[in-house]
Formats: sequence, structure tokens, C-alpha cells
Amino acid sequence: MLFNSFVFIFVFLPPVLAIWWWPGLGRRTRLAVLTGASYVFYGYWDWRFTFLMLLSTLVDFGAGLAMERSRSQGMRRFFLVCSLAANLGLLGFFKYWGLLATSLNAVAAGLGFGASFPTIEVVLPVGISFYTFQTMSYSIDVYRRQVGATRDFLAFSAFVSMYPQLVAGPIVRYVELAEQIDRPRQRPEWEEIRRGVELFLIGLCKKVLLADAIGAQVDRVLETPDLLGLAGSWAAMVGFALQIYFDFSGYSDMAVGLGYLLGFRLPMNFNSPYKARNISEFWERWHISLSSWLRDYLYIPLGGSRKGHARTLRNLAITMFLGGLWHGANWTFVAWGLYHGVLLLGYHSWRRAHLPVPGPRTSMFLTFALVVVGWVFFRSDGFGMAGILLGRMFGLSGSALSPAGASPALLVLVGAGCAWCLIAPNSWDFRPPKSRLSMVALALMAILGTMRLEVLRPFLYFQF
Amino acid sequence: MNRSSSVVQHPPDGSERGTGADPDAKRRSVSGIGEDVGFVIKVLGLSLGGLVSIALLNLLVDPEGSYGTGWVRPLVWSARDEKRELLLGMAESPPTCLILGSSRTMKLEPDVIRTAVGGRVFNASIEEARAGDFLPTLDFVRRRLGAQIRWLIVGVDPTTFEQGKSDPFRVVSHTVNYHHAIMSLRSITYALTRYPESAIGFNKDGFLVYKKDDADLQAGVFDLEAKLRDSISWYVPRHGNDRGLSSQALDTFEVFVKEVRARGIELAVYEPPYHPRMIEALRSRSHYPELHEALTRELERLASLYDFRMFDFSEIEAFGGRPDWFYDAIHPRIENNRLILARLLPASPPHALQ
Repeated sequence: MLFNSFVFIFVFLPPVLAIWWWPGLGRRTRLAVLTGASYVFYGYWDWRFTFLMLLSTLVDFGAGLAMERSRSQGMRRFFLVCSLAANLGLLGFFKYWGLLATSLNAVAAGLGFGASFPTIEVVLPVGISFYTFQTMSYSIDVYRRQVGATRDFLAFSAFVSMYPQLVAGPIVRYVELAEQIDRPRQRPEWEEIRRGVELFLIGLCKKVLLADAIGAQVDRVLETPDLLGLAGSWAAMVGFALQIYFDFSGYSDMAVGLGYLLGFRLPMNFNSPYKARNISEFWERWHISLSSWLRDYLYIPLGGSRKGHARTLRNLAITMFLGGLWHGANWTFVAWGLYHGVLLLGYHSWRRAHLPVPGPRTSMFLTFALVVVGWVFFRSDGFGMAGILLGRMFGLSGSALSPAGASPALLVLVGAGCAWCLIAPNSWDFRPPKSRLSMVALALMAILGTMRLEVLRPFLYFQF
Repeated sequence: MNRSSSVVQHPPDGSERGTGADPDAKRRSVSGIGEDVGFVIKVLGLSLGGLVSIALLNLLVDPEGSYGTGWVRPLVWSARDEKRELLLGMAESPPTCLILGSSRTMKLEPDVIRTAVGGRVFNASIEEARAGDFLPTLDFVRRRLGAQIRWLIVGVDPTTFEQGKSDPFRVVSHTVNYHHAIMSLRSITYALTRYPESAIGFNKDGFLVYKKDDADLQAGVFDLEAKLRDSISWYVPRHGNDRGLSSQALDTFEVFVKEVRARGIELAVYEPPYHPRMIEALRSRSHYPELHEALTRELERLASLYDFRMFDFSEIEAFGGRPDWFYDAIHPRIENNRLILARLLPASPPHALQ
């Protein structure tokens, strides 16, 4: 089920909220309702995938209890490895088997071997990358004794499956929600409900009015990347940068808004990333829940920045390589991650050498331009397309400043989108006053957003 | 990766996270809560009111002619209505050969077929044709016109057998809809002023005429590149979104084929061509390869079971076509269609009628 669908907004959400808010319902009943509703939400795509989520839930719930009951560190480590193997095994099979098999076949063919690994068609279950990371973080936290293992399977199931953040994040850690789930409030305060409605509408409009409109123009232009001129290719890629930002941050705003409506506080996932003045700051503002996950469960365990410059650079490269791979089973995503790894390495080396730093506006512009170049790998079907686009963007095709391919509609949308990103406050900081104007503006957003629901374009991050 | 940054940031609303209770609530005044209640209710009320008004406008104006209110002339063109009228106009001398299919077969020339197989040929293709449309069309021609059909040419592609997920919100999504609201306003404007001339039309034999595109082609100003760009992103999801063909639609098609062959009607089924760029896009971005394979396999099975001719012309190489002979990503021009007909029609038809 998509947040931007009639079935979610008009059929799923009202009864779920009505039951959740119903006075006098016991904690366990409400958690059961939330878990059941979340399984319905998830199973609406394909009911068979609910078993995968249940499996992941069972494994980590069991691993948590087993670790807590184990006396020896060795046994604790054994159960942690079991949990990680199960989760990464699920992820590896459903997400990366195709990539692995085709890559190995290509290498074997290149070496003159006839070996052929079976390239079975595996359907990627929606959101598997998100909930496996979520459950893995629980097991790791229990192993590290940063959180006690829960004995309440219902509460744990509600945590894993909670529909607002289930399929595209934010990646919530158990420690962040444990108390909220243990003591769910009967009904959120009206101020929270108002905030939830505001955030949901802001996210909906970001998605259906901005991301989808820009995306349609970008898709059209990128049908024929070889026809693009220099300005046209930049316009297309800036358009994609805006599309993915409005799409994903819109989803996150809606998720947080829905969390508010249930009385849960979900973490911030985007903080105006295109206002970042260096690449390190960009990663503190973009997909915050993933970058902090990678930092805490990968970068720091690898040694972080504690063991000298060379090790820091190595750790950054490994983290960004795996971060790129997390996004999709395609080498272009790995290239995107490595590109950002190189940028981070460059930035840290630059800082270490105390080289001069440009002014804030220049820094912001340069950072944005570097991020846009990185999106080329993210958006391209393969390295062929990425090569063509990069060639066009850097004038290697001799197309000079030709705006060829960039439609007036795309240029207008890109201009408006850039202005929005640079001027408008972040959704979290934006608190419309309780005035008539705000009321009308929000109602208008609801009407326009609903009128664009028919064109069901899934959120970009659903594929990851 | 900045180690010093906090693990998670929470909404800047002053509340503690994870306590299960909002400390702000105690400080909040009763009037403040009242304001929030009123604000939320008014926003939702205004939104609902606005949406209901738009739904009513779209229902009453009915710009697509979906609800039959008939208050304002529908804006959309429907081949179904026009072809029914054209067929009824042939009651005196009903067709002996029919072309069935979607808009992708509308430019198949009845004249060329008549030359090859004789008799009277009518192109009965209708927009967005599905497997369930073929038998009713054939029955209409046979029963209402008393036609003795001898030849049938049918064009099919994966959309003919799409799974057609039932959408319980179709009425809501069609009435509370931006596109329809704009169409409604346009419809009212035209009704108050003047309706523009249609850009397409049909000859008496059901052959489609793209008035503007054909004029542009004649004038040498037809921009295929722009058409391809516009149409590929539009058509890719429609031709490759499903993960499989509808078994119900396949059964319906088999019933149709069985009926046709039981009546001794000569049948040729073909898959119309896509532009090579469309094929490329379908392969990289959709489930089309699996759908196409399944469709071809099924057609081959039916062809051997019911003894009819079947052709896969989905790629232009199969009939020696050219990529510039298209109107857009999925609609071939008559030059490509003539090549198709040259392969599809028998050199000496067994049921040629004089």
C-alpha cells in the first residue's frame, strides 16, 4: 500500500486511527491492532512477503532473548552471528543474488570458463533493506548491552512492522521506540495530531506535486541522454536531484506525520541536505537514519577515525562502498557510494591539510554540484548511460552550452525546486501559525495532493 | 561521518523522546487545545468540502463521458461509438472481413486486405481493446448486420491480456482528479464557446486518419523524436507493469478463437510492432520480456490447437520494417503496416471472395 493512494488515505488510515484512539482499549489490544494493521499494509503488495518479515522478527526476537540468557561472551557472539547471518542471508538472496550470479558469470566468461551460476528471477520484497537493518540494529544493541532484550513479542513485532516507517524508513532503532511502545498513549495530544496532519500534507505535496512533476520531465529528457547538450544534461540531473529529494524527504515527512497521529516520535531523516556546505555535512543531513546506522554499526566498529588517517580513509571507503551497495543490486550504486567515499576522503584530507575553504555560498554551491554529479550513477541504468551523461555534463561531446533536451517545463521546475531547497525552511522547522491563511493553505494542499493521487508513482526508495 | 553528531534527531517541539508522556501537555492551556482541535477539524472540513465540490463538478460535467450524465458533450473521442455507427451504416452490404485490435491496428488498411482476400473489409479496432472485446464485436456484426464473416485479422499485445486489477476506488479516483477537473473546465468553456475540430477521424471502412500528424508528415514537419520521448515514458508502464498475463483474459481469448474456427472463419493473429527504442525501454524497465514470451507461447499453443496463422511482429526486424515509419513508440505508420500485411495475408487465400 502506498501512502499516496486512495486506499491508504481513505480506507486504511481512518479505521486504524479510530481504533488506536478508541478510549479504554488495553495496551496489548492496541499493539495487536497496530501490528495487524501493519501486516495488512505490508501484505497489500504481496501477502507472501509478510512471512519474510515475520521470520526476521522471530529470528531477532529469539536471538535477543538467547543473548540475554547466555552467560558466556562466546555464546552471545554466536547468537549475534546467527541473527546477522539470517538477516543478511535474506537480504543477500532477495536483493543481491541476481547481481552476484550475473557478475560471477561475466567474470567466468571473461576467464574462458563455461561455468554458469543460476540467475533465477527473484522478486525484491518491498522495504526488506529497511526492516532487516532495523532488526539487526536491535540484535547488535542487545549484544552490546546497550538495550535489554524484550520479552514482549507483540511489542517487538509492532516495532518491526510499524507501518509509518516500515517500507522506506526512517530506520528506527529499538532503543528509540522501546519506551513509546511499552507505554503507548491512549490518544495523542491535539497539537500532535495537528502536527501529524501538517507533516503528512507537506510530505504528500512534496511527493505528488513536486517529485512526480519533476520526475515526469526528467524521465522524458533522460530517454535519450545522447541528445542532451551541456546545459540540458545539467538541468536533467539537477532535476533528478530535486526529484529524489522531494520524493524521499516527502515520504519521510509523511512517515513522521503518521507517527505523530499514533503518538509515536520517529526520528528526523532529512535536514535540508542541499544546504550543506561540505560533503560530510551533506551526509549528516541526507537519509540521517541510514548514515547514522552505517556510522554506528559499521564505521565505528571498523575503527572509525581512532586509528590514524590511513585507517580512517579505509574505513570511510568501506562504509561508503557498502552504503552504495545497500541502495541497490547494481554496480552503478556501488560506484555512487564509492564516489561519495572519495569525496569524503578528499574533504577529510583537505581539512587535515588546513587548506583554505571557500565562502559559505560557494561551498554550498560546490557541494550541491558534486552531489548532482554523483546522482548520475544513481539514476543511470548502467555505466554506458552514466558515461554519456557525464560526457554531456562536462562538455566532452562538444555540445557547448546547448540546452538541447531541456524542456521549458523542466527548467521552470528545476528553478522553482532549487529556490525551494535553498530558501524554504525544513519541514521540521516549518510551523504554520493557527491562522485562517494557514488553514486555507493546508486545505488547498490536501485538495491538490488528493487530486494527484490517481497517478500512482511509487516512492523511489521502495526499490532499495 | 561525524562521530560527534547525535545518533538521532527528534522533532523540535520541546518534548522529551521516549517518555510516553508529553510534558508540554501539562503547560498547555485548555484554549490552546481547543484551537488545535478547531484547526484540525476546519482543515479537514475544508479539504473534504473542496474535494466533494470537485467530484460533483466532474460527475455532472462528465468530460470523458463515463457516467452518462449528458449535460455537456464529452471531450474524449471514442472509437467504440463511431465504429458502431459506421458498422450500422454498412447494414446493406455488411463486411466479410474484420480487423480487430486496439489503436495499434487502426492503421491497418482495409483496401490492401480487400485486394488480397476480396469481399468487404472493415477495421473494427477500438481503443484499449481487451480480449473480452473481440467476441462481442464479432457477435454484433454477425447478429445486428447479418454479416457472414470469412476473414479475421486480430492484433494483440500484453495489454490485451492485462490483469485488470479491480479498482474499487475508480469512481473516486476519476472524479477527485486533477486531470478531470481541467477537462471539466475545458468542457464547460467549449460548451459556452465552440468545440475545436477533432485531430483524428475514421474513413467509412474504419481506417484511422490522424488529421494533424498525417498533414505534418505530408508537410515534412512531423517530429517523431518528440513523439517518441513523450510516448515512451507514458507507454512503458502500461505495456509492462503486470507480472503475468490474466488467465481469465487468456481463457476468454481461447473461447473467441474456438468460436471463430468452429464457424470456419480464417484467422490470422499478430503482435503489432513497437518502435525499437520502446522495445529497449520495455526490456530495461518493465516485465515486458516475460509478458511477451508468455503471450507468444500461448498464441503458438492456440495456433497449433485451433489451426490459425500467428505472427510475432513485435520487432520490426521480423517483417523488415523501418524505425522511422512510426507515429510514436507503439503506433506504426501505414508503410510498416503494409509490410506486415504482405507477410500476414496469404498469396492465394483459401477463402478469397469475389
